[in-house]
Amino acid sequence: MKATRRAVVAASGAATLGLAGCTSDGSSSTRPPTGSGESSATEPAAADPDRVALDRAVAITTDLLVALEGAPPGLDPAGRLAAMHSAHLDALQDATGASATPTAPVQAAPPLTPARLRRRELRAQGELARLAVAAESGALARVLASMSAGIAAAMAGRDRVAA
Amino acid sequence: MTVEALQTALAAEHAALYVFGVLGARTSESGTPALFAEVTGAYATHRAQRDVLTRRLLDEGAEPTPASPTYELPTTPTAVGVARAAADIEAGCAETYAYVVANTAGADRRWAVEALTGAAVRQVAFGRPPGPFPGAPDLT
Repeated sequence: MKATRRAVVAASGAATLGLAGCTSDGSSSTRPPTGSGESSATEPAAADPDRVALDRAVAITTDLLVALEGAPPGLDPAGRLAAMHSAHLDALQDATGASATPTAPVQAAPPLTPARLRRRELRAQGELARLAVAAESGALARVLASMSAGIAAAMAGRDRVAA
Repeated sequence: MTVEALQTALAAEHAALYVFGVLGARTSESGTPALFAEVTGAYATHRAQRDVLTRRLLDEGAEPTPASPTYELPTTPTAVGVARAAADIEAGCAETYAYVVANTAGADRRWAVEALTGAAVRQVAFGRPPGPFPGAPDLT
């Protein structure tokens, strides 16, 4: 399973996530009129002002994935949340021009309950939104903001099902 | 770039406001109260966002882009059709705000992130399954 593979790789620290490719202008691939992002993310990794934000986003997402991996059955029906976070990791990989590593090791956490899962997801959503606002690269900001909105929508979807 | 992005968002809000007004008129408050509440709530949100964008553009010394005389309306003979059309509008607004996020900074970007998130959540409220990248389907 893709999510599991990614989570294990990141959690073990056995390998860094191989983030390759280069960032395209975030606006060039959107439906609205084309325009440039605030800046480009095609510079070498050492000069990338968004390196810390990118690493943090990878760490946040990896942490969510690892937590879901050990979650009780039924907490993530059909693995929807795990699939979303796995897709987010893929996007971070595709949207950046250099390798990224989590800034902090994944730590053991108490078993997830629905309430704890919700708190973790919403905390991550808020942090991704803040990273989006602070990002130098418009393209990266777009990725992070969309990830944040995706988590918010997923939580809304769970609420809708529970109602 | 900021003014251009905000003008794009304002144009999208004009369209959303127009269509949601029509959808509201096509929704029965007594027959489908939940849908009616969602549609009227979305209308109020888009009206507020239009006003914020208008003021912001005036602050920048720009002439806010006007609303078009008319917009293409979806065929919505049923409540399901109304919900689908509403979700489509929100999906379009989410794409617009993702674009605004990429082309603004600071407070404007913060506001756009919130607007993107709101559009994503409303899509779900209108019955669309949540996706991983609201406003940025190219990332999927």
